[in-house]
Amino acid sequence: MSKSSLLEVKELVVEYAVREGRLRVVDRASLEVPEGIIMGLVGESGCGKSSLIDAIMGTLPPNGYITQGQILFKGKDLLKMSKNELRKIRWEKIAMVFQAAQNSLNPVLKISEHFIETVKAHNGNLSNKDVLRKASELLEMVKLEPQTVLNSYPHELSGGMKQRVIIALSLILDPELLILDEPTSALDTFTQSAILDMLKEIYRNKRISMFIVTHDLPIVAKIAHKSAVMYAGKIVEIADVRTLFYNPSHPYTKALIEAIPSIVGDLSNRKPIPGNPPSLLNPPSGCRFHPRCPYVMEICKEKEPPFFEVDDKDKVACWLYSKENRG
Amino acid sequence: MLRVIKRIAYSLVTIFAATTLMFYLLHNIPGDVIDLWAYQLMEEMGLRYEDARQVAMVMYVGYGEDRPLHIQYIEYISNLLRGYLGFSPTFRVSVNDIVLKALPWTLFVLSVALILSFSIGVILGLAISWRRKGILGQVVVAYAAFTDAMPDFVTALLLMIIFAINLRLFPLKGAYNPTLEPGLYPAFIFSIFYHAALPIFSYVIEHIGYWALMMKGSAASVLEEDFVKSAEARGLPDKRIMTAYVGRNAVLPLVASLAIQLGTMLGGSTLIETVFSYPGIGYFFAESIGRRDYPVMQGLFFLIILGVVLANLAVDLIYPLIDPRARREVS
Amino acid sequence: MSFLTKVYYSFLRPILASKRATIGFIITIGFILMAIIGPEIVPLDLTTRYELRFQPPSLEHPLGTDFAGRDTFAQIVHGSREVLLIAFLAALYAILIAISVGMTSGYIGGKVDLALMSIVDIFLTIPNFPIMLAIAATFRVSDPASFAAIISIWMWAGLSRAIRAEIMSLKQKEFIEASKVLGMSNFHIIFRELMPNVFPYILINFITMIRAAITASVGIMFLGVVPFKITHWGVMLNLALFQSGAIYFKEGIYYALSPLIFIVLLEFGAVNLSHGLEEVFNPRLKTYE
Repeated sequence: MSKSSLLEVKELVVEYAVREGRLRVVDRASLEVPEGIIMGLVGESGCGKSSLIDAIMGTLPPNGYITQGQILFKGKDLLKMSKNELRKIRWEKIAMVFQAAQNSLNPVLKISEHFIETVKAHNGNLSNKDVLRKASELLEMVKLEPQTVLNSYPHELSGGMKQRVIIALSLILDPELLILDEPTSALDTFTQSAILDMLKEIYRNKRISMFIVTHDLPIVAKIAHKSAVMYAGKIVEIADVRTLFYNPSHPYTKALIEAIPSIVGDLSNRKPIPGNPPSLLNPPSGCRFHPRCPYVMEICKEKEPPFFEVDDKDKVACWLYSKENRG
Repeated sequence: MLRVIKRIAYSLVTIFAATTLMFYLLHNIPGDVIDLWAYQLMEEMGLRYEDARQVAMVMYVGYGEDRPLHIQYIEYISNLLRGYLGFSPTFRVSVNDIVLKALPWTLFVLSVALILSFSIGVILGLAISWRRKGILGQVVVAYAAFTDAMPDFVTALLLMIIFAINLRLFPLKGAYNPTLEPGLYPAFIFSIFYHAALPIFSYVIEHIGYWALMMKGSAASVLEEDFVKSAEARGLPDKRIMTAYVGRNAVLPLVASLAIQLGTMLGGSTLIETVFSYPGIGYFFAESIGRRDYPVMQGLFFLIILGVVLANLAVDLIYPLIDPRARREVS
Repeated sequence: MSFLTKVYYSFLRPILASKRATIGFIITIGFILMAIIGPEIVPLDLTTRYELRFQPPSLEHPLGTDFAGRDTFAQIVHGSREVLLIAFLAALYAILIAISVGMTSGYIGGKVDLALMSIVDIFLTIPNFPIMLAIAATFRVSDPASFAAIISIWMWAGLSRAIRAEIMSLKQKEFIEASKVLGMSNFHIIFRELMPNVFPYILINFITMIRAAITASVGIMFLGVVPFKITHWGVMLNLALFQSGAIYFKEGIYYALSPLIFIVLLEFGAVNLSHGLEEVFNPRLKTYE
């Protein structure tokens, strides 16, 4: 464990109890979110990234269970903490912006009430005026007009405005880590771009670490420094973004990059990834990606690959990079 | 503002239409009404047919007359607009007097019953939606299914039989102890509540299940909303989430059905008040039907319609106050 | 044979799929049998024998006797025919009106829809029971069919609204568009495409309406407004409460409680049947998680 790791997920397993049995959506996933950077996590829909986030924030649905692993925040395991200790961490140290956050606001409460109740739940000493003053600063930082917005109800704001409010709300207690789950889905491209720029600015101004989870690769390209890649409940590669896009190691990452359409260039170069995402009830043996992998070897069908370090910027879970195979 | 005016206009039209309907209904009675009443008078007072018929014609002025129907109608409406509901031949007082005597009792019982069943039902519904599996949930659901099956007067009768007659715990009739002089002193006030208890219980037992089930369903779907998840992630205490997040949002559709429930309760008051001989609007309405006292029937029916329409209007106008989304303000 | 299998699949299978519906179904069938066959089996003897009044239940009189010494059980059995007949007819009339109005309104739309729905609104606002009472009182009903008609007038409004909504949402769906493109006549569209989709909904509401009609008819008779048959349960209640004072003393309790219990039982069966069917056709509504 490196010294500057803010959040570390170790061999996490998350299962859902469904009628057919137990669905393992996160299968011994491990990654680190270092301090002081923007970290990404990419993967297709259904690869388990949202469940991973839910596990970190404690928002799993009633039929979701964390059966193995650790989630370490600054060295302390969140899964072993008491409710009170967790309350001090949640939102005060780690805050989250949910997917489709437009519905994250209570329709019967004004925006100002959202801020006040959040602060009151953690620190009863601050007066309402102080809270609102801080909220106004944050709202200005997200390019909203504080007076109008604070006095509005959620339905009076547009989708993009609500998203910014949610981001401001997540910063009200000065957290050290901000987790964002698909922060730009359900927004048009212009707003998307604006929100991403805004996030970069917040990162610079507040020196806050961010963890952005998305299926949309270009977002990671635009804003993250480092990113993990998730497939079928497992983390398959962790590298800095440059390497990921220009020199990906894992076959799945390679396929993902090649599948991105570019505005310039030839559309005929695009190759969809063959095959279908695996069933999580009956996952493939060995490496999960092996049925669709163009470089598949015998060992891939039998044993799951551990992480191998390609260099100091890139870690891959693929047998291609084992000491033997690399020569 | 335009919406308010439209709503009020619509309510007026409804009242008007219903009243007209009732009027023509009652004035188109087949057979000779005067004759019917005459026979009734003969039985009651032992008169000869000719005398009875004379008395009947005087008493039931306006019915069975030879004046054209629309003239009678216009006279009725103009009386109505002046606040005069007619004269009751069988009770020998003006319908207005009956209303003044009976309305307070019905309003009293219905409001207490509605407030009780709504608040208890809503709290129950909220409580059982919070814990997924619990014995309370199953009990409440079973209870609701059972009371749903029982018509309200059956509940009233059973209560009457068990508590009033067999256990002698509650009085059998009336709104208050007839030996007491009405006034604002404790014994009288107690007597009022004592006599109203069983009728109120009938309504409450009947309707609690409805409110609890509705609230449970509403709360269950609110609990799945993103803003509840966000509240939990933000570390808000359970109590806050239950009240400001789930409670306030889940209760909104229930408020909309308050008016309809009041209409049902008003309809049911006819039977329940009769069972308990409780002198409210419903009781007199049923009495007037038995006596074929058409002016009272008409007048009380008008009042019932008025009540239902006003309730609907009130709920409609109050709703935007509790649901910000229904307000048409420009921000 | 194929008609029977069709009945089995569309009718019995959904019912048996739910415990609640099965219980309700058994109870309801029991009552229907009682109504149809009962009066043939159980003789009704209306001669008054005052020496036998208010007897407790015995082998000879399973529910005891009434205020005039007549067997209560026989009266209940004979009354069930009246009760169920009136309720069934009322629900039938109401469903027919609701379907006609709802489908017309939903399918044609426009001004017709607006006009029909305004009428529906007025019917919905007027509280059912008082006006039913008033009409029943003024028109001196004397047979089940007209009584049923009076009741049905105030029951169809809510369902017609719901049918209209269903039709309107179905109208948008693609298979209707496809039918139109294929040139199917309106008639065909309505009866072969739209109806089967609303059928389960109509069935469930039919049962609910029967329940409501039972309550209404018993209530009206209880108030002594339309006493045309003495064995109707509502009339029995009226006699028990008002005329004979049966509920006021212990011996009379059996006579007074009998119609009450049977009413509750019948309603209970119908409620469970309709709720069970609802759960089957709309699994999201399961109340037991």
